[in-house]
Amino acid sequence: MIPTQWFLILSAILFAIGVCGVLTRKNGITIFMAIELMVNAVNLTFLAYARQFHQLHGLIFVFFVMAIAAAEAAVGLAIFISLFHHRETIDVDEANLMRW
Amino acid sequence: MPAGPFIADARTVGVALFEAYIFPFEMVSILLLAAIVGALVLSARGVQAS
Repeated sequence: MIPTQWFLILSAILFAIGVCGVLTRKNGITIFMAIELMVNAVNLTFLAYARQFHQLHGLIFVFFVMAIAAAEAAVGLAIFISLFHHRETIDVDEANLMRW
Repeated sequence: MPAGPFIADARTVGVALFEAYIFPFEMVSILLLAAIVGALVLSARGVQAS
């Protein structure tokens, strides 16, 4: 049986990669890929603890997290479609309409 | 910490999802519906209805 620490280490590595991707990339689609990577790292943490403590709640919560990630991706891609109609780019540095 | 492998088959997860977690399940359905409507409104804005 694989120790739980390995799952947690892998989850931390994936989450760090996602954070680096969000902070460094400028393409909107790539940022969404990094956000999905962070969400799935948190899912892996839920599953690791659910497996360690023999609790079902982690498994159930992973379903909800996946559904919310799907909704977030759908709305985000629609926002980028609208942004591309207005600005002809999905570079997030160009999306400074709401900057104060 | 319980010993042994964790056995959680589809029946166990499904019963937990549809009995103990039925209210969050319905809330997720409403959220997905709102996301669909929002995505359609955002992406179809500016497209002329012909």
